[in-house]
Amino acid sequence: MNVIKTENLAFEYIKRDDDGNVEGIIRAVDGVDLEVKPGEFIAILGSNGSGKSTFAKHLNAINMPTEGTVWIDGKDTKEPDNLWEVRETAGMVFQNPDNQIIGQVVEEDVGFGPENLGIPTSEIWERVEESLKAVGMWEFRKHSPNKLSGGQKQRVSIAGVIAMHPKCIVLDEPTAMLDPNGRYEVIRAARALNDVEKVTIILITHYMEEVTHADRVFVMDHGKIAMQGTPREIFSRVEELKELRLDVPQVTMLAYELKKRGINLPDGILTIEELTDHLTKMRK
Amino acid sequence: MLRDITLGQYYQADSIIHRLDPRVKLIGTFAYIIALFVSKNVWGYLIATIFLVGVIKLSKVPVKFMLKGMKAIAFLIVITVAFNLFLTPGEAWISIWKLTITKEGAKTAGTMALRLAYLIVGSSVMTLTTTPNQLTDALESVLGPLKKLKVPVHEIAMMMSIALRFIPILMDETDKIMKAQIARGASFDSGSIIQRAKSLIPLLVPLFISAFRRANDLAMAMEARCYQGGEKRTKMKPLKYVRTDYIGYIILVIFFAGMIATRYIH
Amino acid sequence: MSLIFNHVSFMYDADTNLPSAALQDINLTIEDGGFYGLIGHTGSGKSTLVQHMNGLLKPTHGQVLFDGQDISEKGYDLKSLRSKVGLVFQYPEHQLFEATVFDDVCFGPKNMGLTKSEYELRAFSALEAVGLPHDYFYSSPFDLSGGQKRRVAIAGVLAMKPSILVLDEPTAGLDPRGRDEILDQIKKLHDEEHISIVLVSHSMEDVANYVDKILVMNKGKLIYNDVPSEVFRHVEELEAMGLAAPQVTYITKALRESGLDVDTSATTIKEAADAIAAALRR
Repeated sequence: MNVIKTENLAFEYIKRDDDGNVEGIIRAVDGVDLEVKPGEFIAILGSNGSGKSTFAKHLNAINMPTEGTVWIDGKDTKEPDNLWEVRETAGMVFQNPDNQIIGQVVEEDVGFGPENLGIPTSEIWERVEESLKAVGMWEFRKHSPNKLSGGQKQRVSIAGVIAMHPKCIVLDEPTAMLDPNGRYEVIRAARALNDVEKVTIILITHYMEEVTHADRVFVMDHGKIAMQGTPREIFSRVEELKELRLDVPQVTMLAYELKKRGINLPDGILTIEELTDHLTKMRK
Repeated sequence: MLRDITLGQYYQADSIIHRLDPRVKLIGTFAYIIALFVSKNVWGYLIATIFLVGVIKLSKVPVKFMLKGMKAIAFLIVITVAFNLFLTPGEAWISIWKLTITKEGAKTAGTMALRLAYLIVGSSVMTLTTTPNQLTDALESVLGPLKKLKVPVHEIAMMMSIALRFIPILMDETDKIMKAQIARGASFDSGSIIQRAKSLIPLLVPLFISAFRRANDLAMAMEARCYQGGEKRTKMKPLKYVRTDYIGYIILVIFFAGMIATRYIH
Repeated sequence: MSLIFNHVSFMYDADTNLPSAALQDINLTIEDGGFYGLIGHTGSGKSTLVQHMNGLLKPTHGQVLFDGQDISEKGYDLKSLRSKVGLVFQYPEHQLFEATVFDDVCFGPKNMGLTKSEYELRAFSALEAVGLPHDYFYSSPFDLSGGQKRRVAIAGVLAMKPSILVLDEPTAGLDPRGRDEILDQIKKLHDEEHISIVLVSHSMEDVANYVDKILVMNKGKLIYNDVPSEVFRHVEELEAMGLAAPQVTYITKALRESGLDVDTSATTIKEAADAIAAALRR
C-alpha cells in the first residue's frame, strides 16, 4: 500500500482586500496526483510561491483539500476521526528552527509529541533516547535550544518527530534558513533515517544539491506538478528547470556547459566523480 | 544589552535546588513572597536574607548571572523608591528645591526597594532553576483542583511556558530590528516624549508582525505533533515527591513560621 | 570615500570579567568602487565586523576610519556615516513597517532631514534601481512576494544614497532565480551607480561569480583578503574553517589529479568549462 496517495488534490483560498471584500480566489495547489511507497525518498522542488509548501501541509492534515483527496497510510485526511492518526503517521518538520521547538530543554521538546500521544512515561524516555541518538543530538539532551546552531535545532525537531514513530516524515524546507554546514547536517540526518530506519522521507526544498540522492523528484509550478522523474532525468532538462526559476547542481551545469562546447557527455551528470570519470575516459 | 535580562531564563546546573520538585519551588516562592510582606522589621529581613542567600548558594547559579538580570529591572525599583520618597506625607526630613523627603517616606522607600529586590531575586531563583516545562507541570498540579470549576488550568500553564520560551528569542529580535532601523537613520533615544513614542513605531510594528508569525508557526507545529490540550496527555517527567522535597517543605514551614514570629518582636 | 580598519579589535562584555573577543586585530581597507565578498563560518565574527562598518558597534581597540576620520571620536556624526555606509541586514524584509512600499523607502532619507521633494525623489529612484515594477509602489509591503519585499528593503537603504552598501546574505531563502535576480541587481548598482559593495555570503559559488575580492573571517581574525582564484587555492585551509571552495574548484583539481592538464584557477562554471575544453583539445 502507498504511504501517501493524493488524487486530483486542489487547494484554494480567498484573497480579501483591507475591507474584507473578496479580491479573488487563489488556487495554490491545482490537481496534484502523487503516490509514495514505503521507504522512498521523495524530493519536491519548486520556486517560491510554486505551491510546494501548501501541498506539503496537506500531508499532515494542517491544510484540508478544497477538491480531491489525500490518503495517508490509507486514511482519508478529510475524515475528522482520522486526524490524529494521520498526524501520527506523517510527521512534519517546518522551515523556521526557532518556531517549532516547544521545550526549553532539548529532551523535553523531543518528549512533547509522545506525551501528546499518551505514551507511558518509561517508553517516552526510551523514545527520546533513541530519537536523539538517531540524529546525533543525544549529547545535547540537557541543553537549551536557544544555544544550539540552526542545523542542530532542526535535528532536534526531526528527533521530536521520530519520537512519535511516524511512517513518513515531511520536511517542509527544513534547510531554507540554515548555513551550508547546517544544511548538510540536516540532509545527512534525513538520509540516515531513510537508509537505516527505512522511514519514508518527503523533502521539500529549492536547493538543487539536496535532491541528488532522492529516489524520485517532483517539480512543482503554479500548484501543478510540472516535471517528475529520477534526479538524473530531472537534471537533464536544464532549460526547463531554468524556466521554472530553478537551477541544476554546479557539476550538472558544468557538464551542460562542456556539452555546449562540443564535448560529448551524457545528460544529467550528478556527481564530481561521474564527471571526472567521463572526462578522463575521453582522454584515453 | 537586551539579552542581559536573565529573569525567567533557565540556568542549567546540577544542584539540589534544580532537582527539587517544582511544586516545592512554586509553593515555596509563593510562601516566600507572602512572608516578605508579612514581616515588619529588621529581624524579618535578617531571616529572609539568610534564607535567600542559602537558597542561592545551594542553587549553584552564579550571583553575577543573577545580578545581571537585576540590572534590567533596576529602573522599576528606582521609580518605586522615587515615588515613595517624595510622595509620602509626614514629618519633613530633608528639603531639596520644591521636593520634600519625609521620614516616613524614606522609611517606606527603603522597605519597598528592599522588598522589591528580594521579591525579584527570590522569584528569579525559581525560574533559573526550573525549566518552564517543570513549572508548567507544577502549576497544573497545584492548581489542578480548579479544573473542576472549569478553569483551563492546563492551557494557562502551557501559555505561560511558551511565553517564557520565546522571551529570549523576541529580545534578540528586538535588538536586531532596532539595529536595522538605526542603520536607516532612526534614533530611539532623543527628542521629546511624543517623538520618542513615535520613533518606536518602526520597532514595534515589525516586532508584532514577527510575534504573530511565530505564534502561527508554533501553533501549527504543535498541532502537527498531535497536541490537543491537556486531555489524554501523559508526562515525560511526572511529578513525584522524594525525601528532599519533604525536607524542603519542612524548611519552608520553619521559615514561614519564623517570619511570622518576627512580627511579635519589638 | 574609503573605509579603513586600523588594528581593530572588539570584545563582547568588555566591561565584565568574562570578555570574549569577537574581532582580533583587523586591518582592512574597503576601497572606492570595490566589490567584496565576506565569508566565514557562523560565529566567525563577520556580523560583528559588518556592524563596525557603520558604527553600530565601536572598536574596543584600534580605529575605524571613514573618509580619513575616526568614527569613534567625540562628536562624530554617526547619522551621516550610516547614510554613507548602508547596511542591509539578513532578512531585511522583516523590518518593513509602513503602510505602503513607497513610505517605507522614504523612512531612511526622511531621517536624514531632507525635504519632502528630495526624499520622495530618492525613494522613487531607489525603487527603480532595485527593479520593482511601478504597480507595486503604493501597495502594502506585506502583500508582496518574498523576493519583492527584499528588494523594497534594499531600496530603503539605497534611498540614503550610500557610497558603500553592505549586504548580509541578501539571497537567504530565495529560490535560484530570485537569488540571481537580486545578485544581478546588486552588480548593476556597483557597475552603474559606482557603489562599493560588501556582500556577506555563505555561498562560495555566488561569491566566486560576482566579487573582485574575498575577505575570509575565522575566529575573529581576517585570514584572507585576496582575489577569488587566490583564496580558493587554499581549499584545505578553508575546509578546516568549516568553509569550502566552489564545486568547480574541486572538479578541476580532481581532473588534474587524474592526469588531465587543466588550469585549476577557475572559480566559475564558465571559466572551468573553458579551461577543461582547452585541456581536452590539447
